[in-house]
Amino acid sequence: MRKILCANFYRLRKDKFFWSAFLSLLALPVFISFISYQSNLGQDHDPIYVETVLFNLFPVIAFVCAVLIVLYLGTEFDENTVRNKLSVGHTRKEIYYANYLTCITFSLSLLLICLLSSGVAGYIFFRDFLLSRTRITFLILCCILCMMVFSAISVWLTMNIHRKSTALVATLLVMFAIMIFASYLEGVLEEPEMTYSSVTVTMEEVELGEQVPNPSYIGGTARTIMEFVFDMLPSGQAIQINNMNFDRCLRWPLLSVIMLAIITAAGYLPFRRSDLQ
Amino acid sequence: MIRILRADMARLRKSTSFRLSLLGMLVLSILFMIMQATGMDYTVPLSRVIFLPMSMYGVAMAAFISVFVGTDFSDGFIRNKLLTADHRCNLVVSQIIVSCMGCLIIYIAITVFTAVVGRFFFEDNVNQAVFFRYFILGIGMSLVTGCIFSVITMLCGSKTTAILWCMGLAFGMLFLCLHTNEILVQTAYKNGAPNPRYVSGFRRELCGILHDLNPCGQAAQLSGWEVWHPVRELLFNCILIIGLPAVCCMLFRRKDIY
Repeated sequence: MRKILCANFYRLRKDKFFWSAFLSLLALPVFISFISYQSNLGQDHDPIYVETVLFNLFPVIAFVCAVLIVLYLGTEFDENTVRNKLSVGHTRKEIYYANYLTCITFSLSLLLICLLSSGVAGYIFFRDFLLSRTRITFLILCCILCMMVFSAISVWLTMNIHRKSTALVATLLVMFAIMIFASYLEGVLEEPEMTYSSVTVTMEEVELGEQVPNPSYIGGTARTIMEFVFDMLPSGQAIQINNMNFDRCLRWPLLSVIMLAIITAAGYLPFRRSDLQ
Repeated sequence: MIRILRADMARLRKSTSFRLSLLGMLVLSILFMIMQATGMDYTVPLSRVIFLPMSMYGVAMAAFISVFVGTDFSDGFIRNKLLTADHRCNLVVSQIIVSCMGCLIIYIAITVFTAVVGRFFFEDNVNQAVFFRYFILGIGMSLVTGCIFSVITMLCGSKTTAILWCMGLAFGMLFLCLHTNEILVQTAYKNGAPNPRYVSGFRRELCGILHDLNPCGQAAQLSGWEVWHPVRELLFNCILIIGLPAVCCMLFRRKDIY
């Protein structure tokens, strides 16, 4: 497996998509921080903290890494490199996990470079921190585990679809679908428990009626299940991190580790028996 | 060109990507109807639901067209077609026609399915004349979608690159549509006071033009059962349907097919 890993990292060093993404994720946070700073200058808006800028590109990085993983691994199937690896004596387990480790390494390197760039640019422009250092470190750990789950999903799809183009479409649609589903769950969970029976707007003031239970509010067991699913999904965690909503963040690392184990097993088991045409 | 058209139409009928796109849109339509029927505490009118699946139409068509048209390039079949075709423009036009036909079939199937099934679960408030007008506008939208993505795929020359560009553009158009819609729905006054988020003048006009030019923006207006400038949309659709194939012919003539 060490030989495959060396070959993978050597290939990665020469991959133009990886380096393009690396440089873009180094420059983009600086640009976004500058734009935010300029638009906030002299305006009476809510203050922007370093953490706002630090985590706001996290969902974008997930999409970028998903595409890069498909392009990187899909080439091996299109050019029959996987069969060559099997011919020289490597087992399917070695091939799968070597590719898995390579993809996770480069996803994490892109994540860390983006976080570093965002953090430095955010500190230069905004200076103020909202959270403590311990909390920020914990959230960075959550981002790392969440990114590993996203990468595991892309590796699972690419290694089992065997065609670069089909894997690309499938990965993009799956990523989009889990993002949309997570957004839907967020919308449902954000409904307040109580609402006003009427709102009357006059020239002088806004008159609110009495507070009544909100029919759109979901409580009880259904809410617990929805919150669990929302926290379990990597897209759910990404949305909460992006929106700076850290109410249930303490359980994110455990849920990410569970998802990682499930997805890794779900990815490897079919690959073991699949027909590599 | 007739022979290439016939061959491509036969391929379309058996195409897995076409069938999967149609199936995916049907599933989406059913899901949307279930969400609307169960999620609201009031009786949802049919007009809210008929064109709702069109919000994801762009993404589905990007996937379908980039895979369907891109297969010719990845399999090397495009070179065989070039030998048969009298002129490269014939190949471009036939490919665009088949892609547009595919998009149109999916659009008609989904709209009719949603309208027929929705009548049993939602309040039928649909005016026939208005539905017919919007249906025609939707045909224009689907043809423009087919033109855009088939032109991009033909000019990319590689299936993977085409998928990246088409799906990237589809997501981009969707987010642009959300952004312009958010701007255009703001009223001048809110709660009795001037709305700070209201945009007027040239910026409003520009947002309106972008919203009408964008097929996802057109789909959003149809799903909201409110088309603000139907004549302008029709004009933009005609310009794109004529202009895009012309541009593609010009560029494809000089393209190196390897």
